[in-house]
Amino acid sequence: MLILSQGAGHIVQCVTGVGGADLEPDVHYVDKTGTGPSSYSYAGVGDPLASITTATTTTLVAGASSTERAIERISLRNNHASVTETVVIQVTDGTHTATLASCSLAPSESLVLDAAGVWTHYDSNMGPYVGVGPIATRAEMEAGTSTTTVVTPGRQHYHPSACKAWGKAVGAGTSLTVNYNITSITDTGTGRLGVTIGTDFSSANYAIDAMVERTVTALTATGVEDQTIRNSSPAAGSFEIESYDQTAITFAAQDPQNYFWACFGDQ
Amino acid sequence: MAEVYIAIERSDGTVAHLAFQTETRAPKKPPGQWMPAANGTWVILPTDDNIAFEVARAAKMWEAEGVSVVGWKRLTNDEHEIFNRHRNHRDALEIRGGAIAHNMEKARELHRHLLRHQRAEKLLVLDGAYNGAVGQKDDVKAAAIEARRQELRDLTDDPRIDAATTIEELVAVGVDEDGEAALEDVRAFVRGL
Repeated sequence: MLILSQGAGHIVQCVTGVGGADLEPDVHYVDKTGTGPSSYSYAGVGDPLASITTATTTTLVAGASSTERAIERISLRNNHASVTETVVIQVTDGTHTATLASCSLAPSESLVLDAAGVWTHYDSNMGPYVGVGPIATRAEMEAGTSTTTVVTPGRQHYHPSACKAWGKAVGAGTSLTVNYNITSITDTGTGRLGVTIGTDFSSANYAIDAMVERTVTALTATGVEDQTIRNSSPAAGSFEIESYDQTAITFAAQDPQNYFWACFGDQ
Repeated sequence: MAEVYIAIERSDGTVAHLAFQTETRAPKKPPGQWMPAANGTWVILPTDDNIAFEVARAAKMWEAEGVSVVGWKRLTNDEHEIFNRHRNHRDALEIRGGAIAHNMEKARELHRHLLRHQRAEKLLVLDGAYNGAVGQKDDVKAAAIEARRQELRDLTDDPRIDAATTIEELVAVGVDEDGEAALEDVRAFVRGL
């Protein structure tokens, strides 16, 4: 509950910064008038107010002389289909102003003050946004030891356990099928695929997990392809995969059906 | 995902095929003139400078072998498809007079290597059968097996290999389309003796 002291100069306002949205305000409060316990009277007031559609300062609740106004609910819903509005709820006595709450209301989102005096920002499905702890920095992600900071999608990549680059290429090595953090592939020869990474690793010391898809299902020596990382090929931003069959006595380089790889390490 | 295809002429006389990506998803801007696009992706224009930069990055994986880049060219779709065909003879490709073509001398050697490779398992089967025939003092069986072995040895001397002037003529000489079936043929031959 938010108590607005006696006096017409005490005002709870809503400041909108963008304009063009459609905020629907609704306020409920109880007025207490009188000078002593035996003379107190109470009157509840609940009113939806006119929609706020511009960047402006709107009075939600104004104080009244000789009246203590107990605000038990303020609700603001963005009824617009596409415009996000910035909202600042503030209280002023005409001299000083204090911000009570602020947020960006996307379409169909709400900002609500409840009877317990708690402000809650609701998403478009009336699910509350839950406050979380501090966001982990890149250094904290790379250290991977904090148990009190929060991982965000844009930074989870930096954790040591996160895959830094992956991909699938056709067996001829002439086209990349899907990938993450790869800028090119190179068909260097039969059974040889070069991979060039986008954001390089910090050195040539990283882990490469490579695999090939065989061209046939028969378990003959020529049908069982194996794969390795070509000797001395890994650099901070590139490496080469070799594919070969199992024919005795000397294996032969052979294209697989597809190449796959995943890389882990420090960037 | 869009790709631009590049042929890289290497200092060892071979040609590499590079698939230059014009869009990727990366945690931050990759090296080069990448620009941010929607949904966390990056895009790059396939200009000569950008391609040259990527070719230089890719070439680092060849440094340990002492192989460097001599030059590069953009591939047409038809030239790109040349790399996808006749993969057993892909290492005979070169840039000749600005065009992608097979070095037939290299292609013939690759072809002979392929024939030796394909006959290796068959010879193992025949070698075992021959030893068994000799051990059983079955001269007729041994002679038949030896004749089959000689056919396999003679594959690499087929005059059509030297006579081939195109890669299509070359691949028509003695290559097993189905290796397992060809091997089973040899086993069936031995069982039938």
